[in-house]
Amino acid sequence: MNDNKLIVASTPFLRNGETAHCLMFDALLAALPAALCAIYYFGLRSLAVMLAGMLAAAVTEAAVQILFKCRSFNYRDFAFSFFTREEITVMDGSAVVTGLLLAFTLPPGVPLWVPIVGAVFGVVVAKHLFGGLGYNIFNPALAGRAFLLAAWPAPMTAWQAPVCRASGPAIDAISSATPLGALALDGQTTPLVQLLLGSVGGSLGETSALALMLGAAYLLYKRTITWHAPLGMLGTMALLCLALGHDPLFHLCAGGAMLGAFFMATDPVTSPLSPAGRIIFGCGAGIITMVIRLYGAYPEGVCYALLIMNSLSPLIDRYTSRTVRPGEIGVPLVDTLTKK
Amino acid sequence: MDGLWPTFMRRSRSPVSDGRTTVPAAACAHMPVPEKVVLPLQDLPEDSCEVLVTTGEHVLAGQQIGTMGIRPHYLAVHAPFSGTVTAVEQRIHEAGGERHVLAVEIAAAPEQKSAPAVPLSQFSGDRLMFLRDMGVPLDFDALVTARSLMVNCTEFEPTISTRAAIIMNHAEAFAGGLRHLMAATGHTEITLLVHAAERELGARLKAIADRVRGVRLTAVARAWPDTLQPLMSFRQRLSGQAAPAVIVGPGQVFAVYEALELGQPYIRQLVSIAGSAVPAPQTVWLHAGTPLVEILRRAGVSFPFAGRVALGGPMMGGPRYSLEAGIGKKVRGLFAAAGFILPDERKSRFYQSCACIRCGKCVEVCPAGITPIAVVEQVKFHDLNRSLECGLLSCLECGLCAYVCPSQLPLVEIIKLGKLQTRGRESLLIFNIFKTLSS
Ligand code: SF4
Ligand code: SF4
Repeated sequence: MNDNKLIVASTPFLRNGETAHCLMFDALLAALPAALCAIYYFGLRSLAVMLAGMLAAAVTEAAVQILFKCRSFNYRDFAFSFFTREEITVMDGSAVVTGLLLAFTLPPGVPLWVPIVGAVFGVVVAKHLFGGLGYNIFNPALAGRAFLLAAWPAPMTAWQAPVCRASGPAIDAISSATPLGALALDGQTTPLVQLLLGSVGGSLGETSALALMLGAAYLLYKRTITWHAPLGMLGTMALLCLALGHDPLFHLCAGGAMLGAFFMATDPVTSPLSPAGRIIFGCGAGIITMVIRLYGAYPEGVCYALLIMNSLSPLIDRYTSRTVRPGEIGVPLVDTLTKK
Repeated sequence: MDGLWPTFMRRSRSPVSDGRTTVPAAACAHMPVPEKVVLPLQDLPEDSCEVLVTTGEHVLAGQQIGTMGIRPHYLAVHAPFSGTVTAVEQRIHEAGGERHVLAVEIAAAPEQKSAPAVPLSQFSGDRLMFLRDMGVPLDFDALVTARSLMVNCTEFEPTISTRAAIIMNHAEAFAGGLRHLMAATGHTEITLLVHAAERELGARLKAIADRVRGVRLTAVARAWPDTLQPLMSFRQRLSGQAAPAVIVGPGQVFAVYEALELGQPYIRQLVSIAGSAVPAPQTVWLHAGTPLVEILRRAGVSFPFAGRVALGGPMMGGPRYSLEAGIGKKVRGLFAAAGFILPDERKSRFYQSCACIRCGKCVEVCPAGITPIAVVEQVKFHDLNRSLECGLLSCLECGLCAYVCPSQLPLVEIIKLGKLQTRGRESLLIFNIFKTLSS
């Protein structure tokens, strides 16, 4: 009677359609305002830096996956293999995000080999040596930047003043200090309006707080990121500033605080899973950032703060995930209603 | 290349997060009398049961043909129509597995005659005993021992709307059922749970709560999955402490009304039939024990096309590999999807599962408050003690974590596997919500 064969598949049959690819695309889209600001203030040169970073990261990831991950890759039929092999996941866009975020942390006038070297280091060492997307401990973009800063400090600290392209072509880049550098050197503070709009010296993507907040609003709306880590980080920084007698708004808007809080601290792979863990992660990053900024040798500390917290996030995960005593079963839906 | 371009709208966290008002305007239709029905008398081959008919015997609609279990822990089974008993033998049980259980097959007679209704006044036992005798599938032990009584009027499955249909079309009977349930169980209060976003349903329930003494209405922010009740029974068995609440559904409340007020046994049930293989999704009254294949045929499902069938809905249903068994008393939905993956199910290389990117979305949506990916990792490592510590047994098998996971991981499948490995079927809630006589 039962001549028709049925497929036995486990429910749920429904998915909401979110993919890792969508999350990465969202991050790129959210970074767009900041990228446009960079082009506006620092000229087309910055576009070249960003493209170099993105391209280098994507090509490196594809090469690593073709050479080391995909056993069955057929070089004769390159395009077909490239698009059909499951192991080749470069199309998910995570490498492109890495390359762009890395470029965001570089000074506008760097030689083009700098973003390339940084992206290759980030993708190969920080990501694929640990097992690829989902397994890396450190944020590849930050790891790339830390490596560049340690190996080639000179090009990494050659800041230039923004060139407003509306006022005629730039003849020569004028060197200038970043707001945080100026504060550390001679105690100058930069007006808040300039920090919000981004007409200050600094890394490509970090100067305009407004553009970054616009991107962050999109990410928060799409639920690509949650508010926990950014709020923890920025809130802690503001509180520390108040307690130590500094201007909190200046410290939030200057340097990489916004970029770090909204785009790096919310990197899913390297931050904790649970909301509580994310708040702890953000607070830790905020404290370390302020300590480096106020007492350290570097004027800026977001990058190292986040890398240090990255290394702690498995530990944070371990102590914040809910555990159940053996033999006990939690039914929070009912328990909260019946306790009232 | 579907999945390459993301939408700019945000993705939902649950298929029913926005609340629905898909309430049928008219009363639900009855499906015509099927050729035959198959009524199982056991849930598991080792369960006890009692058969009151023999092959060849003629039965009337509503006549008792046997019991699942034995006194005092039993549930009567009735013939849904008049006809002839054609077989009393081992059949595949609809609640899953390769298990064969004793079942009674009845072929319909051309003329329908009902057995006389037995009112409560002619019954010697108490009301709960009467409900057992009328075959109403309730969790009788929990009804007496639990500290409070709740009626879950939220609908977790996106394709099922039997609850709204009962409340909107049979409000009087529903209210009467609530009174009877309080009288039968000794509870002085009933809490009705309604999804805060379902305004129309909420207004109707508010009117009932205002009218019936002891009934309170509570709006909840999310739909509650049906597996809560088996989970609480399971917890009660493990810990020995009384459960904080027992949850029944409006369909059961309606059946209580029909039994206690009209003396009618439980021989029909409201079922929503939906899925990509069903041309016209519908909510209809079915005769108890109608074979699944018959139900689907009459709903217009054509067979080589339908390939995946689940009892319940697409989120928490129990997948079937045989359609010969009769529909069980507790089933409220039947989901039939196409045998191949339709474009709207978005099969492309971006929808293949990849490594967990630790986005935390599964943690955000889990109604059990556990970390699904942590449980899954421990199950994969075969570390069963650690997986219990992570809350393996608290999982409601609701499917939300797999629904939102951007890495397309089969989280629920692995969690169910872990449950089978640790404690066996008794903790598999998907299995337990379709078990007729809850232990
Ligand atoms: S939703 Fe999926 S990808 Fe995200 S943390 Fe959970 S298992 Fe990992
Ligand atoms: S872990 Fe269980 S209860 Fe939590 S979302 Fe997944 S299926 Fe639902």
